Amino acid sequence: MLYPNQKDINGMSNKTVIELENINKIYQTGKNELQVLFDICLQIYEGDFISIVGPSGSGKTTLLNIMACLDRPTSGKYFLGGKNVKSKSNDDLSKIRNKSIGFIFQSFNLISRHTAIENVQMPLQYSDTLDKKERNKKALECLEMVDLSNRAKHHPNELSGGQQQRVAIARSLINNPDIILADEPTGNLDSKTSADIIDLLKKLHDSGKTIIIITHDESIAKEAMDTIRIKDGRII
Amino acid sequence: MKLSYIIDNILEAKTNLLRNVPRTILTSLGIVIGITSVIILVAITDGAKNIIEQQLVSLGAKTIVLKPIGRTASGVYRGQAADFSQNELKLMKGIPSVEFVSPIVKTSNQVSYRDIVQVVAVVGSNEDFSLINDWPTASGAFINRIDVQDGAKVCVLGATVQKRFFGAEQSVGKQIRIDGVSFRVIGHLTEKGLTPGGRDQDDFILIPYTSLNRWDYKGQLYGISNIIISTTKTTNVDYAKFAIRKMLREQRGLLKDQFDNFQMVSYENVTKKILQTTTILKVLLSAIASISLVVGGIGIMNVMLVSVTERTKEIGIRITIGATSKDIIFQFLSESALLSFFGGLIGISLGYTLSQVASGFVGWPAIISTKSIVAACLFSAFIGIFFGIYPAYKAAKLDPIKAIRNEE
Repeated sequence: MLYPNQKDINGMSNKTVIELENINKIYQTGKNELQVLFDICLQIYEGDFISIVGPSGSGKTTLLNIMACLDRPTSGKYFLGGKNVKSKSNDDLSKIRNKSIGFIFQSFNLISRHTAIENVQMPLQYSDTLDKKERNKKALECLEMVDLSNRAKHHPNELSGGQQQRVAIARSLINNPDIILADEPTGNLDSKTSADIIDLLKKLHDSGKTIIIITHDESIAKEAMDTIRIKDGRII
Repeated sequence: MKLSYIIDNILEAKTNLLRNVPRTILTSLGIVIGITSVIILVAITDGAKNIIEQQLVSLGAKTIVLKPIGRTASGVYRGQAADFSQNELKLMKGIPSVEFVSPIVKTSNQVSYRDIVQVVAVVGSNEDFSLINDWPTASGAFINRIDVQDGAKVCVLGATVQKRFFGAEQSVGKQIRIDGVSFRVIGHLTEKGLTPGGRDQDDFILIPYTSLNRWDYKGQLYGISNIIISTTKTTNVDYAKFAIRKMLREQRGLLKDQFDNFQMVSYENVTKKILQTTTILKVLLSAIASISLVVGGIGIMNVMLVSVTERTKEIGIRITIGATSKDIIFQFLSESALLSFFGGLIGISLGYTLSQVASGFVGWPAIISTKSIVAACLFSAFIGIFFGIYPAYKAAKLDPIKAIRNEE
């Protein structure tokens, strides 16, 4: 099934950034096969703000990993920005992730022995030809966007959960990607901080980013323009 | 690959290594010990080789002896014996790899001092004689170039002659008579002792070869019957022989089918064999010391594997946000190479110091060449890279989804 194209109705955009066609995912564990995704079809348009909701074990993280080019579907086609990623090598996928996808995780996933600014500039290290000075300048700009430029030299363990998540958001923005994938971004935060983070994501959406949030929290899901519900590996 | 990429990686590796200094030191200890022992052993064997070479030189490793009679391989004398001329002597001296040329004219004459009269071997030579034979004077001076030019009536006594005529008395400045002609003693030589055949090497008087013909009372001319040549290096002997032979044949107008009417004797093959032996020894000892380098390398691999396991989550994050396998491999290789290179540097300075100490024990100087230092640096970095490949490859092949879930 195709997900209704909200943007088109609103007359904003009809450019698909993510398109899944009959995606299946089967895990082999020894002789047992475990199918976690069944014939997923999905289109996400530029500028969408989508939440994917489902109970744990429903396959939503697997779906996100496939969309993030971290995992490959067992069958089906995945078009990212109009291009089929099936034939790409792992290193090509790394480059695609680096350029076009920003990641936000439940557990922030900052590298603890690096300072905030070092964490933020890291994707640049793997992408273009900027030297260290230019990378730090850009990283500081991103930290300013999340109001943390005064914490640039702090290590993650010197920051609160909310601050760490904002550093992670700054990192996800550094390469100016089209898509931001957030996997339970508020899962480790209290409700007040969660609200701040969601506000920040909304702001990013307003600035034109495509945002996909995975959550099991209905109140967070409500904040999105649209919600995809997933259960037992199927979109319902 | 851009230079800044390499520098960034090396700086990051440095920061990482400094985060756990005790572990870094312990890890590089294997390399330190390995490089130290290689440096010491190479320095000591190089020193020994140098000493052996010097001893060989004093035994005649650089010398070529020319004799006037040509001889075939089967030992049959062929060709007309001919003494060497002054001109040939001069031309020999002009050959590039030839350092000293010393003519030998032997005779024996009645020598008298006060009431002692004896027949003594008289050798005519030049100023190079002392240098070629590594034979200094015990007191006074050796004959010099001017003495040879002028055919001066001066002489240098062998140790036995000195004893026989003067005993403990000072001989320098005294006049002795050789066949009735007065010669002034200007020095006497140190003692060389007997040859293996039992001949007393010190029983002679040395005078400028030019003086022999000048004072010749019998109206007889002494030709230059032998020449001793020394080359600049032991390795030049072959070339010098070739050049001398060519020159002599040209000078003497020998045709292609004519045999040499002179003969050259040298010991370069013996020298080569002996120096080869010391080289084999050096390779053998370095190989043994290299075993500790391999053990050190395995130590580095071990720690790098632990490091990869510890940093699984970090690697997962890096791959997720865009690191390619090349990036990850380079990150870990920089670290292991730097670790090993750092160990190598310490090993070199330690090896340098300890080889000076060791040289005191063995009793000959240790020689540390720039070559061995550069080789040690490169080899230690190579060890780091070689033993870092497996851990780095393992890191690069991690599945980011699983790696990122790993708890730090």
